[in-house]
Amino acid sequence: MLNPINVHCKMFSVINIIKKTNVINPQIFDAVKHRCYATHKRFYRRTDIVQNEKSWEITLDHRRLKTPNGRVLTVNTEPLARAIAAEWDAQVEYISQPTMHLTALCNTALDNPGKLNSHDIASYLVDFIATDTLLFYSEEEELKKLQEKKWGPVLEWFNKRFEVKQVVTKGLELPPIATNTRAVLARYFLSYDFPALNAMCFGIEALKSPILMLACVDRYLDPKEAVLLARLEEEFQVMRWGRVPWAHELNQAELTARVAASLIVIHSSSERHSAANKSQGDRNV
Amino acid sequence: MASLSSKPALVTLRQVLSELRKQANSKKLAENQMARYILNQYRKHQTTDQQLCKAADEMHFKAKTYYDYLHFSRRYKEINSEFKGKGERSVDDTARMVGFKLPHDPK
Repeated sequence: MLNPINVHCKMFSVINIIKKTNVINPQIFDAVKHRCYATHKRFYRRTDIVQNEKSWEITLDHRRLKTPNGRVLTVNTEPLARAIAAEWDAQVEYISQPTMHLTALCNTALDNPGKLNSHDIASYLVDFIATDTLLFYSEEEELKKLQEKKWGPVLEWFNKRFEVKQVVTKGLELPPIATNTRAVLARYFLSYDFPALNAMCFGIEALKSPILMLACVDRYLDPKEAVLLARLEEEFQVMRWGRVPWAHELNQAELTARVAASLIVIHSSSERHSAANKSQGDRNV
Repeated sequence: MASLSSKPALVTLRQVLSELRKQANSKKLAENQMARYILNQYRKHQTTDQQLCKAADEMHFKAKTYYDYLHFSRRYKEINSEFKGKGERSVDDTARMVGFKLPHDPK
């Protein structure tokens, strides 16, 4: 006689085997195959970069990479251009554009589909401060303790760095933002050029927190830590209820990639220098 | 930490190169432009990354950020392809899933 439990176990072991082979199989691994959007096949072999006076361009074979609006994609530093070229080189059979954040950020900065200027973005970001994740503490005791422990130092850093005094709130009420804080932050945001500001906006929307993004830009936190702090409540619940890879881990990976991409763009646009190697003669002087 | 030849910086270098090897089209790292560029930068800033009054740790932070970008966008693609729905299963797949065989399958 067949033992029903045995059959059941067997069935699940079969499912497990199928699942494992699916992951290993390189053809199925190509996520773009099961996509819900129009894609292009990879139509180029090599990716490279060329320098054009002060800016850098990316080439796919011998064609220059262009933005969706048809302008040539130019960036102002070599590392950023190389990173974009590497991103295109990493595409396998199909070009998976939704995961190419660096290209997307540079495209948006050049094409400016929202017809925004730096002042629009700066005022949007200054208004965002009032709904910063870090300013809303939970009413639950245990979570609140965790938040105070993890968010406290970042808020302290923020107050010290910008010489402001920001208060936090409990519940749903918005915390008051001082006029001085708004002025200081607006001046800070406007000190960046448009591509950097656009990237900053992208990163802030991923983290839902301008303070965390500013901490990243100032190298106080790295992207991984910032995302962890932004998802603190989720992590707290995960500790209690268990982790689901296709929700929590997927979300974490996506947010970290977004924040890291925006940081790369911000840091590369704020350097724009032309470094020259010292020649032998200079060294003796 | 100011020097790019200190241990944490070298760990980051190894991580970045490993990600590049996993993602780049050509398998040889020596042919990879990005890998060569990064190695060059590491050599250039070997003694110190404090140039032009930049903040300490700046180059290392950059390398770490780039590693995070490479690693997590790859993770995202992996998780997505593992769990994303792939449409309806064929009769074949369903039969194999529950351990049956179709009549015309070889025994």
